Amino acid sequence: MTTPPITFADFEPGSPLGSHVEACAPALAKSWQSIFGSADAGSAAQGAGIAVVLAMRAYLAVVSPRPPGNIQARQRFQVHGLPRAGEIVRSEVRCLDKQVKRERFYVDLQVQGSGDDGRVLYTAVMSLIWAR
Amino acid sequence: MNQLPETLAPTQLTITPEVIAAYAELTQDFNPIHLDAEFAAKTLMGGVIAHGTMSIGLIWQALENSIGAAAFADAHLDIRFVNPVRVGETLVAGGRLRADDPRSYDVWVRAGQHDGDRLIGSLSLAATQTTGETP
Repeated sequence: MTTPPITFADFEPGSPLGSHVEACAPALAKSWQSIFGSADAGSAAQGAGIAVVLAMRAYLAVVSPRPPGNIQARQRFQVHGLPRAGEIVRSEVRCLDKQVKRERFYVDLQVQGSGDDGRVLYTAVMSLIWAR
Repeated sequence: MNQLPETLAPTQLTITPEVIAAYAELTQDFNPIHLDAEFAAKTLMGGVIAHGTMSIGLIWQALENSIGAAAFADAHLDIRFVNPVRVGETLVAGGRLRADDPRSYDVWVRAGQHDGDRLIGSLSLAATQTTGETP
């Protein structure tokens, strides 16, 4: 039996949705460089880019299954610190808000990632148009 | 705080199906709107679009190339995806220091051949220095 996708009605503003723990593995850096180039390998830009990747992976792992066709309308992303190579990053996902605007379903989700020493690395708020 | 440069050095990336597939693998975002032309054609996007967050990587590169690693000590990006990014487009990211805030840039990602905004927003930096250690 397949689990039905999460719907707009399922989101409760203010509620935590779950957490995701993942290592900042060398494979992520290698994949990032395959897209953006290896000239800045090990750079702060790469570290911040991987922080965005970790936020996306956490959201996708926690908020699942999703209906196909969701679209990001807005992204707020605050870098507090950069993940170190190999570091274990714990990301907490919560629903901040949901609204219906112009017959579209908007959901605001916050993903906050912390390093293995507890320091906050990033806070992302993604505004999604949730597919029906 | 040292004075920031007026503009962020442009960086660019050409969007191909291979780039989209690689970014899908990297983020684990296999939303068919990015990967399935038949599905995407039936959505309000009218066709395949690239992942929005891919453009953020370009902004980070522009930031580092212009200011250095210290800029990431406390960087706050707030962007809106105003137009879809299509396969074949070459994206150019850049920024200009705001007249009303010496710590913030208006940032954008544009598609070169159409000169249209794909992403617009602001990038605020705190206690930025022109040189420094990676945070």
